[in-house]
Amino acid sequence: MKKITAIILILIMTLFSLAAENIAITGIDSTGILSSQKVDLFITHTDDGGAAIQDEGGLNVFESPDGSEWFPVKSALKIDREANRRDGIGFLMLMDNSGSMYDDLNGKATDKEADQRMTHAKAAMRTFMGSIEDSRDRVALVSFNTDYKLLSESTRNRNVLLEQMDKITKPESEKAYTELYASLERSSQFFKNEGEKGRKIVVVLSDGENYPFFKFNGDLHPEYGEKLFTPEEAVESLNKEGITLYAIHFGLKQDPYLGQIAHETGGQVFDARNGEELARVYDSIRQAVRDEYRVTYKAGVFNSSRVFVKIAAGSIESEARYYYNSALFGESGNIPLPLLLIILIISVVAWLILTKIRFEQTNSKPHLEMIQPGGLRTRIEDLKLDKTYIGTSDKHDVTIAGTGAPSEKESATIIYDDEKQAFTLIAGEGEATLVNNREVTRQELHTGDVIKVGDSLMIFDDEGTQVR
Amino acid sequence: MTESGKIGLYTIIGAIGGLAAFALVGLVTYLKAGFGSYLVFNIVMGASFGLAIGAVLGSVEGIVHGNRNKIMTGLLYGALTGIAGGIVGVFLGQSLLLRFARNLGEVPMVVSALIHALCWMIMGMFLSLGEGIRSRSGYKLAYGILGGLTGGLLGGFLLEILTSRLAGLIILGCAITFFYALMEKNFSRGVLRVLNGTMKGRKLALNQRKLTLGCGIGNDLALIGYDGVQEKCHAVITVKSEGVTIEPFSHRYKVFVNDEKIQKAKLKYEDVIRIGEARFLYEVK
Repeated sequence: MKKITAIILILIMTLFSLAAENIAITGIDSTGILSSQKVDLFITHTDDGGAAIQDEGGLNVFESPDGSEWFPVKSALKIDREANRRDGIGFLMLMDNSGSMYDDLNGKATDKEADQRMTHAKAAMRTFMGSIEDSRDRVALVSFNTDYKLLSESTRNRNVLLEQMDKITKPESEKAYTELYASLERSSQFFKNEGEKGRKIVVVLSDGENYPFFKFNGDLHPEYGEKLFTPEEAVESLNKEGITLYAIHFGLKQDPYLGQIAHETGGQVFDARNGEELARVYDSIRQAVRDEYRVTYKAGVFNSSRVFVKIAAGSIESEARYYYNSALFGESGNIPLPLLLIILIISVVAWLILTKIRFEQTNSKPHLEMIQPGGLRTRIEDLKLDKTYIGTSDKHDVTIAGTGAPSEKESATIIYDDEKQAFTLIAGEGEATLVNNREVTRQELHTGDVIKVGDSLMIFDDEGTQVR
Repeated sequence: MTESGKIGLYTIIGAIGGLAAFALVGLVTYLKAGFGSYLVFNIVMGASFGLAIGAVLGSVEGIVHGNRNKIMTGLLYGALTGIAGGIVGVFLGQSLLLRFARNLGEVPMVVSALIHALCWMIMGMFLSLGEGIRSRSGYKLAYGILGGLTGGLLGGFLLEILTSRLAGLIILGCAITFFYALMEKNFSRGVLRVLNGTMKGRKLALNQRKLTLGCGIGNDLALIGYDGVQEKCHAVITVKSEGVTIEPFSHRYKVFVNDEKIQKAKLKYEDVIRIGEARFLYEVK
């Protein structure tokens, strides 16, 4: 019952819009905003007979950061009526290849290939490919069911695309689900990857409702896993890429949200009952896009990342659409101003503290700092107040690596002289003893003297220390 | 300070830079509407990001050496090259992003993060040039570039796969300074360890072609608080591929190597240098 009401509503709306002058923003291209601050709007402007209106004066564009407070665009508008005919249109055709596409037009199972919906759909596609031959339009083809499969890249060559289309065959039951929203989401990335610059249109043909694999089969989808895509995500992604979606219901069952998705991207929804009607729908979509004119203007700058836009011609006004102004640093989120200031102050204070810290440890006792190769750790040996024995065995106060086998005899001794109040190094046996790289037998030590006994290097330090 | 301690300190300073960058970029976002064009807005975003990371990175060597003059000039040079680098980084990064993203098919998130990381890599490289330019040192430029590239790539990759921009920027800052320190360690031609006095324990990396030692703040190694050291320039250390040499700035000044007065001496590891009261040990690292 709900669906019937929706269909009636759509029909009334369509009739209503046909009965009066109408202006709509069908597409927005904001890719130039970062380099030139320019935004392209694609406008459909028709009179009460549905024919394209030719006058170019009296147009006004408004922008808004929130959709409620509107600012008129001050710069002059550049209007180009031939943009889409001259540059061509990029079409991505999505063909439903679920199980039901192999029923007949009344939804009954059939083995007669000629009666199957797919056969009708393919025929309409052939007609459509024939119509683009003299233009610069490009067409790419995707089939979708459980999987999303790009059959043909963008091409103007009819034979290339139709050859790929003929490879579409009836899917096995595992593959026969209808991942409609997921496929729309994925189609939004197509033109970006192709580097398409002109008008970007996705046309989806579906004979049923969104019927996700994970939800109705229970197993994980091979690509999407547990993820269930929503109509809102599809709208968001398509709008972000400046793509307009046209949707065609082909059959009795209809997805309840497909029309709404199309509408929110600036597109429309159509019904087709057979191949001929479908061919006519394809053609009228293409004609409508060809009739669009392009309005280029210099965009304002707003704090929001999403900017709403609408266009007015005399007394009539379009519905609001939106585009994203690209930010290299991503979305800022909504961090309160005081918090940002606090973070800034914290970082400055932390930096100031670091500039004040002394990073060297001070040692209040006379000591030897043993130098380890690589400087990863330091070993400190405190000096005794009478005699400190340095040698190669464990029994010595300071154990060093010797050049020969460990010896009981000390290699060197450091004694404290009470009268001089100074430490003196006395060389022992076995290992050469150097102070500041000069061989010594007895030497008074000063802070910073570098002692080498055998292979061990150590720094003497009694600076600022109290011995007694 | 040990080498690992120094790398740790650099990394902490990088985190502070990331924190400051987050705050600055956030503040600029608040003023977005005042910029008139998204191009100008993005330029200011890049500049403020570069300013924060570049400034702290420039000051890091001064902080390690405890040299106020070096902190301030480093901060200034780091900020200036950071601003320039941030702007260039925005443009190069963005054009790379557009070029790459347009020519690839549908990509998984990891690949897309990797592409973004390439842009951050370019940005990181530019941010790490400040110290090299300040000291006019080819070595420092080289490891600034290498450290910035590596840190930008790794930090940028993590930034892209993390959902929090705060955490992401802190990690980016840490990664850039961490790799900068690591490269500095590996590029250095040895260090002078101060053995006594107010700067005891500090390690002064011989990481530029020519270093001056003196007690004035304008020297590369400012020996403040040591008697008997000439103010303007007492001694010069020259780092060349064939070796490291030290000589007094004037023949009237005294420089000792291993307690022997020299006019010019080639340094080898474990040599002990004395300039006035100040003593140094020439070490590998």
